[in-house]
Amino acid sequence: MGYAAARGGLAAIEFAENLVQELRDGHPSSPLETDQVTGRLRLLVDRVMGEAGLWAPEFTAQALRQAEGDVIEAVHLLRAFKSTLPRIGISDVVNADDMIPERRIVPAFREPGGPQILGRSTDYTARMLSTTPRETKPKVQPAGVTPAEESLDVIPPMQRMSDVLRDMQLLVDRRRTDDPEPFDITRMPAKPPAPRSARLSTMARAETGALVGQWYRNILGPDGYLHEVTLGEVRHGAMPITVTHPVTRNPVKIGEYRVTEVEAIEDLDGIDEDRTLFDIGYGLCFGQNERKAIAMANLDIACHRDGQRSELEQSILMTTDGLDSSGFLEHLKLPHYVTFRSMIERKIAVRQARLQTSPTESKP
Amino acid sequence: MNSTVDEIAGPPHSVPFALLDEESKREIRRALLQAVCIPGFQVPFGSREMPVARGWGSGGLQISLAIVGVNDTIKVIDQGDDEGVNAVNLRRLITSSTGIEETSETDEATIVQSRHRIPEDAMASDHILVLQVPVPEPLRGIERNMKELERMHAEGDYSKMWVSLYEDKVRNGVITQTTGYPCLVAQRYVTATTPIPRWDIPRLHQAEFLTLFGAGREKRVYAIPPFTDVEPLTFEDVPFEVEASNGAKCRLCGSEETFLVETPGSESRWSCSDTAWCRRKRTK
Amino acid sequence: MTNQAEIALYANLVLDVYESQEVFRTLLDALSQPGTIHHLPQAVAHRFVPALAPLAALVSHDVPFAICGVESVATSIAVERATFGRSVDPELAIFIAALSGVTPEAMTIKRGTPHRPDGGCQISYQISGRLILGTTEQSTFSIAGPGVPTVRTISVEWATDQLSSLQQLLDARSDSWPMGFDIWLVDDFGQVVGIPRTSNITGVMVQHDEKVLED
Repeated sequence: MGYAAARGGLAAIEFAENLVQELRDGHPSSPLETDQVTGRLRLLVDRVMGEAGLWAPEFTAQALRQAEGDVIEAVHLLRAFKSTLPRIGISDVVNADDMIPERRIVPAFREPGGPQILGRSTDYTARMLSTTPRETKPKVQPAGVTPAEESLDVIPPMQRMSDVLRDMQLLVDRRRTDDPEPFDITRMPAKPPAPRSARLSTMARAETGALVGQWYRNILGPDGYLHEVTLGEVRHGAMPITVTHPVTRNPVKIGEYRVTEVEAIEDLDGIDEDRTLFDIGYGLCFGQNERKAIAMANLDIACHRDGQRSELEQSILMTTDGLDSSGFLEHLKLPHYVTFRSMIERKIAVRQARLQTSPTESKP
Repeated sequence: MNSTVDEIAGPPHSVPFALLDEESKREIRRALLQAVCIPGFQVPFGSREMPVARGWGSGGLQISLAIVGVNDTIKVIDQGDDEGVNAVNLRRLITSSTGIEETSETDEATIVQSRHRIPEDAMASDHILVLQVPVPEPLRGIERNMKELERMHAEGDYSKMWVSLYEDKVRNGVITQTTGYPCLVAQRYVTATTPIPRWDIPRLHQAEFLTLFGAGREKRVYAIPPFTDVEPLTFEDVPFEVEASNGAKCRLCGSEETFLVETPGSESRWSCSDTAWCRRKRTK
Repeated sequence: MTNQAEIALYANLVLDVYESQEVFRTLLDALSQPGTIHHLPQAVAHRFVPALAPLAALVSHDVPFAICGVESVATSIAVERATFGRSVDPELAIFIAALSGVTPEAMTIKRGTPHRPDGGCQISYQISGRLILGTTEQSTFSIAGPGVPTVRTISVEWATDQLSSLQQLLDARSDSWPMGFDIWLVDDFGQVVGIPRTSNITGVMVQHDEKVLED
């Protein structure tokens, strides 16, 4: 049945919806519970929350289930859901140093201030596909090492690499004394030249692959705006949500969420830059999504150094949103036969013009 | 007195009238009111995520949802067809969240949301046409830098567009713009007319109805008020050409006076793009 | 204004979703068809000074607005409470209600920029009297441009003499389109005429005779 000229378009849609639902929900395997998704596919849940710009693990699990694992679909479900939710308030500003880190690494120094915590990561695990996933592997006992005595609640203070560099007077000081309202990309579209907050929030909910691709293309591809950085901080942990109590005016913690935070140290070597200094790029996103935060920090400092000379910022602001890019790409599946008919007509007109026959007359 | 979040925010998942919350609607409405006073200018707005994907009519949908009231009647078409599946999906979203009447007859509608066509039936001051916009920037093909695009519109400097049209004519013998022909609106802004056929372009000029344009993905709206000049960009000695049909007739109703689309094959078969118009002609 | 009156005004200014939509359509029709008369919904027009309706319907969280005229401070507070908008000086406002013949300082009204002409102010001007289509012996002006087939005329039957105040506002419109500001004339009966910045206003504003307005 031709989908565009189908009579009973509604019937066609409803059949399609029923088919999806039956095959998805009627699959003979055990039903997928949301706690299985949040518990056993946590990194997928983290990624989707980051791209949706909504911290809601339970709803994200439902969205992934409903979307049969399609990340963009799940993100769409969550963002559309978010559109129906009223904004009842704005949380207080929090300091990134309030994070309780589960993981912290500092590639720039062997012994940074405060501990390096490898944490929950497969970075240094051999990628061997385990073909018997249900088998419980015996716990590896590190030889001659006892687990650290301290619990995570009493982490020694971690001095940020940017602060260390600043103390060593090796860092460009871009701190501002004013406190402008951050740009709200959910209320106003950002376009270049945009304030840094617009750039950062766009990247914070950009599609992970798009940011990684932008970064890689710039390092090794034809664009060449970026250099490799040295990472100063890679942190993952929980951040508090606090709001101001309407009566007491005191800050009240009402929940928490997890973020990945990255500071990327850039070696300044441009003609008009101070060769004695470093500069910093910043990345922050929901959940544990390290490649995204690292790409974000790299692209942040690249944009700053680029200073609107190229179209890097335009590229980031306008082409990294997953829903915009996928939606527009897939819209090609919609009927386009009016345009196509017009194209055929123009091709015939060009052919006729070339044959130097009398031009097609315009319609009165 | 303790309040719960539900008490403050309202029950969860209760869908507001016309899907959007009031603040979103007001924001879109403010943008539309500016747009009407600056015909052809692309007004940025905080485009919300909709249940339809970006590129699939989310902008047109936001306009319809922001303007619709309980007494409106909605018609939604895609390529001129009320039964196109995307049109059906959009229409049911609008009616299910508002309870309003739907129709396929243009003269019964008060709001017509359309992708890529203007209905064949005449519309008047009690109609609002909402066009879905894939790319709101008419100069996109000739300039990629956004700051430069902004400057061109701000200064009314469309010289690059004129050069491009001239080169097209010289290279090809005719201007080869297909649908979405660029037009000068109210003698000021060059505007993307959306991929409507050239057939429909003259019907925007000094129209009796208001046309609103929604680009959800690119987050802009624009407008052409009624009785406004809409002039396709062309040269004095190169008359604007609509699609030629070479005497083709609709195989269903026999019409030669409507925009026809083709089913290619050994025997070329044409039919009206506006299916409701065609059906009515056949059943009268 | 008494505290009680202020509270009553604030409550009345809260429009439900249906009312705000109807008011919006009236305002949209008025601006897209300049020189025609449109009607605010009755339920809204009788609840407060009709010229406040555009602000009540369009202002939302943090949107800057201003009120000019009698009781402007108390009215501003009421509008803020009803809409969560932000009361500012007229030169910062994107919506202004000009009540009882008081208009903002003409040169300071926001008109947008060449890159963002959509930053122009939209002003709701209270007509103490009645708007009438066509030419009468009263104040008359002609309106042409986008939205108008050739030319339309509008007359004003004044209840109190604010002719010069309206003339002042119309004269403040400059020839800098697409920048500029837009006007809704809103009379005592909830009738609205739109004058977008695109409109060309001509005609003679004549002095009106003292006339008792019949309801």
